[in-house]
Amino acid sequence: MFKQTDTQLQFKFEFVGRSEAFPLGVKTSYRAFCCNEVIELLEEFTDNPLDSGFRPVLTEVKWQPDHSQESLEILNDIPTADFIPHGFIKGSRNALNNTIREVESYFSKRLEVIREWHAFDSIMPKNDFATPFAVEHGLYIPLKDILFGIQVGFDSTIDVPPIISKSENSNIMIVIYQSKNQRLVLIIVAIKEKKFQKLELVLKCLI
Amino acid sequence: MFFYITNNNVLYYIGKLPHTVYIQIDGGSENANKLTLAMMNLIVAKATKLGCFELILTRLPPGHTHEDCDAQFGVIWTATRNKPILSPDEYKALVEECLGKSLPVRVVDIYNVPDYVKWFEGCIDPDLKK
Repeated sequence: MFKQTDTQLQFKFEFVGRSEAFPLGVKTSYRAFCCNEVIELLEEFTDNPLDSGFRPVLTEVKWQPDHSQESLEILNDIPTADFIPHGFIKGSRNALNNTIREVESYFSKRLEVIREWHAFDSIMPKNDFATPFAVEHGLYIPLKDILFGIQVGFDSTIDVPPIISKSENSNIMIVIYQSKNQRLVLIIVAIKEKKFQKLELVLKCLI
Repeated sequence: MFFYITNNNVLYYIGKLPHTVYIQIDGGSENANKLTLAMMNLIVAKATKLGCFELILTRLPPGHTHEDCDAQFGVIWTATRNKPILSPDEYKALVEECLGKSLPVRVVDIYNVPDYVKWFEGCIDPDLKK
């Protein structure tokens, strides 16, 4: 197994009580591995051709920061804003409609299966907009009162738009050019918006 | 957010959380991120009244094979191997049945969740590096 030098595989969150050093009362520490000792293989090149190029080293794994009054800073403060719903994926309602249609067609003689799917459909969102659905059904927030406080509510005034998936969030670019050996080359590229202009410049230089 | 929902279910059954909660996550960016650390921090800061005073989060190293919860998926896979599932409700019933033999299991339908990324905005230390 291989991990980057800076990757930390274990984090410990301890309640230590609120103080100047720990404003939220939590001390957070981390360590590179989840056991006290590990054998690491370090690169080592020698003149001996039979050597593997690695040297095993027994390493002690320590929690960091090791000072008792230091902690990894994660939260500056505990948020108190109202929640907004997470957006639905654009096209998800359409995908469900297609599934129901397929079920109705495939199981046309098994009415109990169609009934179960219609019951499922009746409780699903009617479109890809999350806010109206959350207004009607509420948000699922486990441990809400304990973790977030009773004063944190749900902000229904913000309309959350549907989320466009990564594959949809791209442009199609078609480039036709004549290469040096006089052949016509057609390139079709699907690329994200941010990289679009950069690629366009590179292609112009190539042509 | 799985662990956070899991803790909610532990509370549902036993009424309190253990003193030390161990959480094992895959090392993918959907788990190993700043938001996960922020949520862990929040749980320990707020959940002492439920009995949780320490939380150990372990991320599996790159190249790992299986994690403990994969065994549960193996049980579901075995149960569905020779049985066609024709609707979401049938799947729910099957999961409750096959996993519920040794421990009480309930399947909770979740249709919408809060946008926790937006909620934590501005509260996560900007110096916290990836």
